[in-house]
Amino acid sequence: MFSKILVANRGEIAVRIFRTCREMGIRTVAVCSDVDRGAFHVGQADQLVALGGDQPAESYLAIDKIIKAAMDTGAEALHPGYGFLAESPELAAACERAGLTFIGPRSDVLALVGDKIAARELARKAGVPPTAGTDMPSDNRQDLQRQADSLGFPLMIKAAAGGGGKGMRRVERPESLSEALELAASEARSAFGDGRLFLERCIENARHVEVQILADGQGNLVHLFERECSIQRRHQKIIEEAPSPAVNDALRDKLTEAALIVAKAAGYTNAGTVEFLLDDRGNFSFMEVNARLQVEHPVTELITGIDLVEQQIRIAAGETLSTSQQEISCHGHAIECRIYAEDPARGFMPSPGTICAMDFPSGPGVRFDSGVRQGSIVPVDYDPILAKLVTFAADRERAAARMARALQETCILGVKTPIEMLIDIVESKHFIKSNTFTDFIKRYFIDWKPSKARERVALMGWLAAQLADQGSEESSRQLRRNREHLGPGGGHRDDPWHRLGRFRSWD
Amino acid sequence: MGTVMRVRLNEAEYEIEVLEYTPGHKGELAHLRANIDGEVLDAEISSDGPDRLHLRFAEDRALVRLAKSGRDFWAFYAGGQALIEPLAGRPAKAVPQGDVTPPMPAVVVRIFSEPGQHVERGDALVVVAAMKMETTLVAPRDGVVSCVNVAEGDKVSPGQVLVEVVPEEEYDGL
Repeated sequence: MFSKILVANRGEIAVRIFRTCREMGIRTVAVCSDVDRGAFHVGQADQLVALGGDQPAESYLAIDKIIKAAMDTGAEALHPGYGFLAESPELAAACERAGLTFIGPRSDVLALVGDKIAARELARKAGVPPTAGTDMPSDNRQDLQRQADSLGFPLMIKAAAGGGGKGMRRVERPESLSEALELAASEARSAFGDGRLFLERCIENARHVEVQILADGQGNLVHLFERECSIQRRHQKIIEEAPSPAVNDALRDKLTEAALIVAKAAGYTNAGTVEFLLDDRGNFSFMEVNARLQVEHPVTELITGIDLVEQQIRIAAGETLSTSQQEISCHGHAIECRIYAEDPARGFMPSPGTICAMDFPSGPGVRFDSGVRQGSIVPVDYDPILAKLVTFAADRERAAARMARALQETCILGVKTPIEMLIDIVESKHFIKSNTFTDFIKRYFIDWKPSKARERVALMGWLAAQLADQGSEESSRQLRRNREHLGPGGGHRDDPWHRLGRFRSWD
Repeated sequence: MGTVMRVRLNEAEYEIEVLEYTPGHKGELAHLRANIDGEVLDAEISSDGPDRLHLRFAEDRALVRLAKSGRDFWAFYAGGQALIEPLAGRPAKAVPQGDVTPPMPAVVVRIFSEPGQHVERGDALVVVAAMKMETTLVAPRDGVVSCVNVAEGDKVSPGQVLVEVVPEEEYDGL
C-alpha cells in the first residue's frame, strides 16, 4: 500500500479523497493555486505544495508542476479527482514515466474512451448499440448539414472531444442548425482545442442512467448498480439518485451486463462509469465511458456501503478486488443535490464571492461533502461547485423528504446558491412521481423564482433584528445612565436581545 | 411605529411597516406585527445566537439567520437565501445607458470592440468568463465605442465600466 498520495485537485473532491486516505493511514499532499492558498482543502492534507498562478493552466492543469510536486514530496501515487486532469492520458503517461502510480485507468485506456467516437465504435463492436448518430466527426459545416438532413430533427450536436456539456446543443428545426453548429464549434474549440462535432438523434422522454463499475488489474470486474442523473441544467447534472426509479430488476440485469461488456472490451481498470440513455419503453443505448471518479459517486457508496475512493486506491496499489459480484448488494435509496455558486433565478449565472456565514446540515441519513466553510473565498477561476448534499433512507420517498429537510438546514450566505430551488424540486409532484427526464428543468422549472412568501419571512426576521438592535442601543444608553448613578458593576443586563445587536461584519 | 421602510430583496422592492412591537424580556417572547408589502404578518420571536432569530407564526415557523455585509444583510430564511438591501438614503442604482458592465465578478476573455468602432444595439463587445461559463456582453445601444477600459485577462466586477458606447452625435463632439 502507498504511504503518501498527492491529490491533484481542489474543493470538495480533494477534501473527500483526503478523508479516505486518513482512514487508511496514508499521508496526503495537497496542491493549490495562488488564489486557493487559504482554501478549505489545503488545510486538510499533511503537506501542501503551492503551484502558483490563478488560471487553471498555471496550476491544476500544469502537468509538469504537479509531477514535480509529487516527486519533491515523495508521494508514490497521484489521485486526479474529477474535472481538471482526471481523464488526461497525458497526465497518466507522465506519471507512468516518472514512476508514480496514477489512480485511474492506464493512459492508453484513457485515450481510447476519451475519444467519444472511438468509444462508440468500441461499444458497437462489443454488441452494445450506441445512441443513434452519424459517427462522422467533422469541422466542415456543409458536411455536418448533410449528415443532419439524413439523421432528421430534433437532433443533438456534440463535441468529438466533449465533456461537461461543452459544445452540446439541441437543435429542434433545420433552420436553427447553422447557428447552433457555429456556437457549438466555437465552444468546443475554446474548451478542448478541437472544434470537431458529431450529431446524435434526440430521444424524447429520455433518462440519463449510468452504471458504476470497478475493475482490478487481475481481470476481475464488478458493477455497483446504476445511478440516475436525469435532472440537469446546461447538460450538467444537478440531482442524482441511486437506484434509478425507472429501472426494474430485469432491466438492471441488462444494463449492468452491458456496462461490464463495454468496460471489458476497453481493457478498463479502476473505477469508472458507463453512461446510457434510457427511453420510456425501457430501451437503452450507450453514450460514453467516464474514466474517473464521478461527482455523484456518494449515492452509490450509500446504497452499497462501499468506499469507492478506497477501492480506487487499492486497485491502483495492485490489490485484487476483495468482493465478488454476489457479495455486493444494494439497500435503500440515496439522493444527491449539487450545490453550486450560481443564481437559478437568473439562468444559473455564476456567483463568485466570499462565504460570510455557513451552517452544515446534519442528522440521520445526511452526508455533506463540502469544499468550503465560513470565510472561504469562491473564486471566479474554477468550477462553481461548493458542496454536495446526499441523503439516504429506506426508500425514495423518505430519502426525498430527508433531502428537503436537510436542504432547509443548509445555510450558505455570501454567494447565490440553488438551495431554495432544490427544495422546490424535491418537493414537487414531478420529482415525487419520478418524472425525471433529461429536460426536467426546462419542462417544469424554467420560470422558477424565489418564493414571495419566504421573502416576507426574511423581511420579518430582518425587521425584528433591526428593532432588537435599536432596543439594545437604547438600553445601552439607559445602562450608561444607570451606571453613572450606580457606579461600577451596576445595571448589568444579559439577555439574548441585548446580544442580538452585535452582527458580525464581513467586508 | 408607523415608519415605512423600503428594502430590495431578490431584485424586487418591498415596503415594510412595523404595526406593533414588544421587545422580549425574561419569561416573555418578543412579538412583532408588521405589514410586509401589503400582507400583515404576526410572529413571536426568540433568538439562540447573535445573528439567529426563530420566528413562530400561527401555522408555521422559520429560522432567519443574518450576516451583515456593508450596509446590506445576507439572510437565510425558510430555505431561501438572499441579500437584503435597505434603500433608505441610497440613490437608485442607475448605470448610464451606454456603459457595459459585467453582471457578476468575472475575467475578461475576449474583446471585440475598439474605440471609434460603430456598433448596433446587441452587437457583441466583450466576453467575460466566471467559473468556466462564458457570458457575452453586448452594446446597450446604437452608437460608437468611445473607450475600452480593460484588457484580456483582467479581473472585473459589477459596476465597473468595461466599454462605453456613446451616441454618434456625441462621439463626433469628443
